[in-house]
Amino acid sequence: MNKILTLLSGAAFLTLGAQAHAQDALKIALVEMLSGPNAATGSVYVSAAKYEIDKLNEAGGYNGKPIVLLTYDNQGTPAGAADKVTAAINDGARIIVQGVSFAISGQITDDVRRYNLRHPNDPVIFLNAGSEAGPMTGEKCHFYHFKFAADAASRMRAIAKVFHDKPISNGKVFLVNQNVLFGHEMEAASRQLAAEGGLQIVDSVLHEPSKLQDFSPIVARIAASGADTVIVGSWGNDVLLLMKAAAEAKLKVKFVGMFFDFPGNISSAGETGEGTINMEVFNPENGGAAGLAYGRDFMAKTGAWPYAPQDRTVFTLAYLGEALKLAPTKDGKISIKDIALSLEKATYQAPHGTISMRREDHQAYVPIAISEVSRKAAMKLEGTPFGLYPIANVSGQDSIAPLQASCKMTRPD
Amino acid sequence: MEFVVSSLLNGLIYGLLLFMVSAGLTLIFGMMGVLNFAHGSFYMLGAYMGYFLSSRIGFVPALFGAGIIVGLIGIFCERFLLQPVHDQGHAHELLVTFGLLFIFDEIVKIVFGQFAVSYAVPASFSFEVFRLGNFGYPFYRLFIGVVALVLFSGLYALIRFTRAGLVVRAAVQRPIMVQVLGHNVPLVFMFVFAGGAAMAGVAGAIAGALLTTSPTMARDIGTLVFVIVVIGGLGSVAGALAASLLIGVFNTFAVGIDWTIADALLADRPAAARGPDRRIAADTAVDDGWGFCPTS
Repeated sequence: MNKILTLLSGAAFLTLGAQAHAQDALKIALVEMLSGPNAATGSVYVSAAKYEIDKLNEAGGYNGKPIVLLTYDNQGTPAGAADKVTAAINDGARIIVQGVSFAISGQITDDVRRYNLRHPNDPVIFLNAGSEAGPMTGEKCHFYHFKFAADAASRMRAIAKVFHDKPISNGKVFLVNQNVLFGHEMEAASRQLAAEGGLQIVDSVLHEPSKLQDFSPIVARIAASGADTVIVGSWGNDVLLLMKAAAEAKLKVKFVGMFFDFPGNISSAGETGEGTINMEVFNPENGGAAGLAYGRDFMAKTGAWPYAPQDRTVFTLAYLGEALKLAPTKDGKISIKDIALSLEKATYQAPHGTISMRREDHQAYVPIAISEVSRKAAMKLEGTPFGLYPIANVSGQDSIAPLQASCKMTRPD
Repeated sequence: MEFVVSSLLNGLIYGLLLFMVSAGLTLIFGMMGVLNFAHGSFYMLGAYMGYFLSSRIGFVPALFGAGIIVGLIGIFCERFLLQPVHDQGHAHELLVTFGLLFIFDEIVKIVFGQFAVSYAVPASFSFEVFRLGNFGYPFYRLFIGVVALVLFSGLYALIRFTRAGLVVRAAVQRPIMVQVLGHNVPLVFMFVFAGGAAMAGVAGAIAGALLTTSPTMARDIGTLVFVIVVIGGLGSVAGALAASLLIGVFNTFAVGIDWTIADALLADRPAAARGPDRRIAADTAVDDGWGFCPTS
């Protein structure tokens, strides 16, 4: 009996091995910040990626096999990311997903480009789910990088359109940004688009990111400037500190910015947050019934209501799922080049609009969801009476930043 | 003018807040001879205790509660973690405090989660005391200043004018001699450590409501208080006060004024040489790990 079992299992093992060789599973590597002080920012990508990969696998996976998700901790440094990209490629992953920090995404996109130069017949795809910096689709652009993030320009184009259609302020605007590349891009985009939205920028400030504890001096400047709207490109704790300092000084202004849906922000800001306008790639309520259904499903599976970086990750992978449908394997062989080519052609119907890809620089057309922290929201967040109530959805075609001349893409076809 | 006045006030009060944290650190340094890396953690634990207790027993009792609990944690750390390695020398003590920093960070994440908690200034404390132009000055900031000053004068009086303070000062300078005279020096050290931790705890409970209460708090303030303690002279409470005020005021004005020395040096250059562009260059310079690659 024992002998037969051994024989049988041996045979099963052999056939399995043969199949695995003939029919490879698609491996996707998530190389994200999972330890260190900013681990909270990176670790949310994991649950989101797992959520969507599970969905793709329920629908049949790819190449007759479930898609495999591998996760790597880049330790929050470009050097750590470079190591983990090498490890992921050695482990057989040919699609890399990442999002937090331009320094890290910039490193990964360069590493992937160089790997592809050396291995033209065995390329790697980089799906950028969050890095917004201009150079990603400018001087650093290459064929195998696909950007699903919004950016300073697209967010500001969307908000300018909303301000234009529906004047929310008296037109006097103060800009608060972090003194890093993204902050500079936000400031430049704000200045450029102010006229379009009928706005006048009265003053602006650039501050060091995550260094400042006391934002009262900036609040004093806002008060002195007479602005009634503050456009904030800062993120993380800085937004919260700014809003708390404003509340403390009883400064009545409307905050317009992003990342207000970051867990903890709405409850920490409390009443101060009411009326704050959030511009992000998605907010479940902006997607109507389908959006809310997605939010509830996400919450049921991962235990938390999704927030924008997670939505971006889900959409990025869902979009990949659409592209995979257009790139069927031949004889069980996965062709990364075919997948990359179909990533250019796919479209994904998100609850609030269509996502497609601009062929020239691989910046996705991502709809921008503009929402307001309000008591009217159907889904109250974090035990507060507030949620994100939809104001408008601006399509990817209307919000996308213009092509950058510095993008010189060499195509494999 | 109102900008200068409000910035000066904000700076002084921020400085006093920093002093509450750095006073304990400098005292502990004077005693142990090493910097306590976990001191920022006591500040963070204080904030979380304040958050946890204020919804249960009220805000002011929560401040006392936070101080007492963090003080007890300090006693535990000193008695059971630091004293056993005391004979091994400074490097061991330093490593223990460094390890505690990580342990406290992780404990807070496990218990309270990775994100900021909603801890805010209570409504009864949130009114304006006076107006500076169109800018209301909040009562809570004055409250911070008053608490810090009360703590400072209490600490100063304790160290300067009481017999216990005399023993503490003597134990810091000549521990063996004090022990020979019949005083329990390890006990003195334990209470100084607990006192320093408790002060940081109270500061955390107060600042957590004003700023944010999140697991990164310990690191946010850690570096700054090290700088203060070094500028103020290691071990000197009065020096810590002076350095805290200096850094508080300097920091506040530096944020409010958008002007750098480099701007002045480049004032005669065309605009293209100045402005944000050079900062962008510095920001993107991290990209190239493989500079030798000709195609990069």
